[in-house]
Amino acid sequence: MTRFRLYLAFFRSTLLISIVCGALFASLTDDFVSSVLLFIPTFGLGMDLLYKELTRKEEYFFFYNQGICKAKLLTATFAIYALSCIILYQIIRLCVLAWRSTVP
Amino acid sequence: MCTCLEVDSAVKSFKEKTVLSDVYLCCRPGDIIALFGHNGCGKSTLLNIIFGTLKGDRSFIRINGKVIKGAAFRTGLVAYLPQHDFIPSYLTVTQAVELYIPKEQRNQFLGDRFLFKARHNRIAHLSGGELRYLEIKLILYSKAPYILLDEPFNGLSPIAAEEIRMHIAESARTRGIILTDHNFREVHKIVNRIFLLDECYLKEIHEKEELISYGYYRPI
Repeated sequence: MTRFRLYLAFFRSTLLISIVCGALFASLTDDFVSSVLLFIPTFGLGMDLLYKELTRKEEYFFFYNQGICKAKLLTATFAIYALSCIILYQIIRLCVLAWRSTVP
Repeated sequence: MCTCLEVDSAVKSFKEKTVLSDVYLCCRPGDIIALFGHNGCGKSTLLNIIFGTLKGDRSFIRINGKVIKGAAFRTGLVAYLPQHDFIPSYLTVTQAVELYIPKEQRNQFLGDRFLFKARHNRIAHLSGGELRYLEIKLILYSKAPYILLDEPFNGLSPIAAEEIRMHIAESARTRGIILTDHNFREVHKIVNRIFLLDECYLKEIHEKEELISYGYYRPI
C-alpha cells in the first residue's frame, strides 16, 4: 500500500506540466479532445520528465530509498495516465453518442 | 554466510583521474564506520557505488552473502542520505513521513521537538537545518539494515547534531552505518571504526594518532 502511495505521489507531481503541455500541443490540432488525451501521457509526460531530469533529479533518491527505481516510476506513471485517458476517452465517446441519439 | 555489507574491488575513474582503486569495505550490523578523506577524494563516489546510483568501472557488492547484480537500492537493504536534499519539495512534512514511516511510529516520529512545529509545512518552506534533520531521521527510521550517510551533520545546529548522534547510535544497535563528514571531531564521538580514503586507497585507522600525519588533529 505504501509503495502504491509512493507511485501515486510521483504521478501527482507530474500532473501540472503534463496537462499544460499536452493541452498546449493538442490546441494546435483539429480534434482537441482526442488529441489532448493522446498528448498528455506521451508528449506532456515526456516534457515533465525532461523538466525533472534537468532541475529535480535529486528527488528521485526519495523513491530509491524505498527500493523504487526510475524505470518503475516512469512505467507506473505512464500506465496510470494511459488507463485514465482510455477510460476518459470512452466516457466522452459514450456521452457524445448518447447526446447524438437524443438530438433529432 | 556473512551478515554484512561488502564492497569489493571497487575501481572508479573520471576521465584520466582515478578516485577509487581496489577498495574493499565490510560493514556489519553494530558498526558505525566513518569514512574520512579530503574533498574530492571519492567518499561520495564510493557511497553512490554501494547504493547503486553510480556504476563503478569495476565493483562487487555483496549483502548478507548474496552478490547484488543490479543497483543495491532495489533490494531495499540499503538506505542512503545523499549530500543534497532529496525529499520532493511539493510534499508536506506529514506527507513525506506517511510515505516512509509505518503508522504506529508516526506520532513518535513527528512528536520530535525539532519537527513538531513544522509538521504541516511544505518541504520547500523548511529551513536548511530542519530539512536536513528530517531527512536524516527518515533514513534512520527506514527498514534497511545498512545505512549510508553522506555528510549528515552538514547544516545542523549543535543541538540538532547532538540529537542526531543519539539517533545514529540507537539505530546502529541493529544496523550497519557508514558515514562521511568533514567534522571529524564530532564524528569521532560515535563511530567504532574509521577508514581513510587517501590517494584512491582505503586504509583502516586503528588509533586516532594515525590520522595526524594526514592533517587531522594537528597539534596547535
